[in-house]
Amino acid sequence: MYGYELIQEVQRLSGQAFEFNEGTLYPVLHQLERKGFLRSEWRIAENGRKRKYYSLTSKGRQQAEHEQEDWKHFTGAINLILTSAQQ
Amino acid sequence: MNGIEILIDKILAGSRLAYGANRRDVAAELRSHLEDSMNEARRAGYDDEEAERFAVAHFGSPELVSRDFARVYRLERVRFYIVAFGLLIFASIVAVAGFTYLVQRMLVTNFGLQHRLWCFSAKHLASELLLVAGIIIGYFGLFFTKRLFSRGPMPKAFVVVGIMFLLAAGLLQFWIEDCEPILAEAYICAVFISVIEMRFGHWIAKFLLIAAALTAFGTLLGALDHLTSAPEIMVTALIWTTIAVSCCGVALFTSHFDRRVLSRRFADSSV
Repeated sequence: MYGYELIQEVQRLSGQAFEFNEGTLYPVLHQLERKGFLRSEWRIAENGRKRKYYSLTSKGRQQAEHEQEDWKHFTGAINLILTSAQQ
Repeated sequence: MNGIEILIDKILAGSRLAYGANRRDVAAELRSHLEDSMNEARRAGYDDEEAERFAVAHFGSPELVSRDFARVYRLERVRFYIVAFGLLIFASIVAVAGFTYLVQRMLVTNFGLQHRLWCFSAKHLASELLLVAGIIIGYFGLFFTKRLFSRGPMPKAFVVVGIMFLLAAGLLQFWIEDCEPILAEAYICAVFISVIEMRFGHWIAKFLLIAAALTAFGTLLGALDHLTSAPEIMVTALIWTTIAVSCCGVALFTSHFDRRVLSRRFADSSV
């Protein structure tokens, strides 16, 4: 995926819930690439334009799974608190 | 220049990316994004001008983006800074020491001071090299250290670099005999050069004042070192003028290099 596509996809999947300054995505992508979580390559798109595509490395995939687990624990804990508070 | 290029320029300027390849990579990626965004706006019915405004507005604050990029590439920037100035210091020492040596050889011969050929002994040349290296390292040390402080940068830089010279003298005394007075002289010269460079704007004034200050200082030291004959004092004065003028050249080149090459990469004091 390239940066613009990534933003569109996040907005589509979230039902347009996330509105963020698009430019702030790129430093994050560069940071993740430098940490070895992403790799990038320039490709020529169908319309002849150059685009930089990002993909997860195996290290990045492991980290993503780890972060997902953390997020599930966190949201689970918040849900428990909210449910208890409602009862 | 259109709005997109202005935005990219602002981001690149604030990002302070050290390497041209990174700058080109970031610029191409942001340009590609902004063109995609403009195309989307055109499909939604905007004309070209409106589409450009749409893309720029959705991209967000260039200050925020460039600050984040600067943080990501901080380590590379520091590495570049150290390598660039390490090379500059090395080249400066070689140039000043080499030039001074040639002038010294010429003067000793022309003034008929062949009996003073001991001044080309390995020991004496080593002490002269230490003096030149000390002046240049001291000058560069002050040049960078003052940037680390926002309040009272020069006095603080004098203290920090002074302490470093004391430590260096403490360490070097095990290998080089009488290095303490040489390093003290070098430190005083570096302070002279830095103060004159900071206080005076015009390069001719800087050149003349640095040459005068260092020549007077060096000749005074020579006179205290039991130089008695007029030719000896004259040669000493001229050698110090040579050191001063070549150090002045280094200072001018450094400020030019800093302004033209590094200021785009290191726009503020926080490396």
